Amino acid sequence: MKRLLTLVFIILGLVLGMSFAGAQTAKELDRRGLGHFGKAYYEAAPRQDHGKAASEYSQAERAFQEAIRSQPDWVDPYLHLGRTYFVQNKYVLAAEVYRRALTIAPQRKEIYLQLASALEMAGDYEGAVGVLKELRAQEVDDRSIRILDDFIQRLAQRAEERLQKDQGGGKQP
Amino acid sequence: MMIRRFFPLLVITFWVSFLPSLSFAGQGAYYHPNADRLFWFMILLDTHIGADSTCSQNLTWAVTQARQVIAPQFIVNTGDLTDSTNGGIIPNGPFQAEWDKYRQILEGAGINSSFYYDMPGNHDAYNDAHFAYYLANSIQGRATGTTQHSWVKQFPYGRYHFLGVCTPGNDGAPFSFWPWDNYGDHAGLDANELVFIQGELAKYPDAQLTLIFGHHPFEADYYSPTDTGLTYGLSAFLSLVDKYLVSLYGFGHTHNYRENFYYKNLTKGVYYMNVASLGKSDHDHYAVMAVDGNGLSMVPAQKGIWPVVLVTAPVDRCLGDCANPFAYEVPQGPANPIRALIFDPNPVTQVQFCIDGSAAWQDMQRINGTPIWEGHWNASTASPGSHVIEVRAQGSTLASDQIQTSVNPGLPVKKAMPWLYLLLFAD
Repeated sequence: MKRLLTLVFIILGLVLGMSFAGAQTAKELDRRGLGHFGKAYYEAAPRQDHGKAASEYSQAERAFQEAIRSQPDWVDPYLHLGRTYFVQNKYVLAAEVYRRALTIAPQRKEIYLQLASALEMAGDYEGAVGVLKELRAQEVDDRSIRILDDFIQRLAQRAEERLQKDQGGGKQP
Repeated sequence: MMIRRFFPLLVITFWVSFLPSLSFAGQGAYYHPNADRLFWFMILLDTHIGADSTCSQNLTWAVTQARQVIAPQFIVNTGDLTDSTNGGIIPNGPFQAEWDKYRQILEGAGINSSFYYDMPGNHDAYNDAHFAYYLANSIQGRATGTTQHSWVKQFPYGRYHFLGVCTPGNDGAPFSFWPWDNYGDHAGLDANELVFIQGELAKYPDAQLTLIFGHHPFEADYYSPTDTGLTYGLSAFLSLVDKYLVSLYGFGHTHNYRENFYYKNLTKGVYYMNVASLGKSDHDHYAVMAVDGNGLSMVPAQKGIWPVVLVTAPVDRCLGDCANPFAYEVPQGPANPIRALIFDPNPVTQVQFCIDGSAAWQDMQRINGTPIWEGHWNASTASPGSHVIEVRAQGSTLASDQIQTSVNPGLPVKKAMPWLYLLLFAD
């Protein structure tokens, strides 16, 4: 019995220790990723230093991906990875990451906005409308609902315009 | 003939008889007898480059054709230089592509930092706590490495001080849908920004006028319930506005044109001027502001619509508020000058004024080589109190501007002017 208890404590300690170490590693990786992101997005890109920006973005992506692997239930690296994809115009990838983030933290409303934004930029207006409607369903504040309705309407209009353009384009010889 | 013969006498007479009638009010506006204390500039707001092609076309037009026709002393652009949407709907930038377009338009027009004063708006600040994109790409950001700007225009008749303040928040918050979050627009002026403003205001105690431009209104809900305002620093900023007798705070953000006076916590108040959006409004795309004898006047104008007519003297006593506390009254004189700026790429064939809606339109004359037109109003029989002066110009179209003034028979010019009027006009 004594041996069994000792074994349980050892296993528990190992699990907790590994988990703590994982969290520490994830935080460090996320912090490192943010450093690379900052150098790319706020230093290199506005100064048209495309080579440096690409290199820093690449390192940022790797760091955030490793952070996610290290602690898959922590949402922050997903948001940072999504943003890193977004600012490089990798909108489909950004949307995928934001969707995963939403499964982890569905209560974080700003993720809906980021997901809708990525879908919009990817040209998936219907998808963006759907995400904002999900968000609207959770809102209780009238003013927020009015703002969301406005954005939903404008995105739906874009979707309609594109549909008409596609249909018009299809009739061309 | 008569005017030429008596010209030197007329000059002396003007100064002797007219100057005592000057009516100083508020921040020092006075009714000047001639057009040699008049300058003007353009105000552009909310250009939103990146939103759509119209925004780019409108800015291009403003800094090319409009600039050539109006020939302003300088151009102010109070922010939301870019849209932060890159053609989308949800602001989520900054996008370098938008800034590239902004730069391309301005550089293509030969714009430089001694002429064009651009400052950031909330759309230039989302996700960018340190204004990296503004500093790397805007005209003033690149020239000065700062987000706030101070410039002076020196004329033989005095010095005029202008300040561009950075009202967007400094936290780099992203846009949001939530009113409780001010939609991510955490606008304000922090301690460092206020120190700069105070330092610059203190540098020019001799300025004839001090005019400040920023992106946001002082307070939220100015035009619509979604209009954000300063969330910190307002009280300290108003103290500076009051202490240094700032005459104007000009801002954009709401995409609507509105003249007003802001009095709260101010001894005299400040002219509180909201100009619509060059990129996104349907009308009132930009504004022309003039300073004539330290009197402010301004007119909103629409892209491509000419002529633009702006009455600069007498100063409009209903500019922002009736009665504008900085406006002067005019004497019950026989030759009160009326001055207007008329801008048009096509020839202006006739400019006239009328008083109180009368059918008797009187001709005004152009001052050679300038867009300034002058006429003289015989107010010797005008009743004391308020009168409306309308100036109309026939150029590309027929356009007009009207102002209100107030005749004060108590002003001393009344007795000195009749014989002068005869000399001038009885030929």
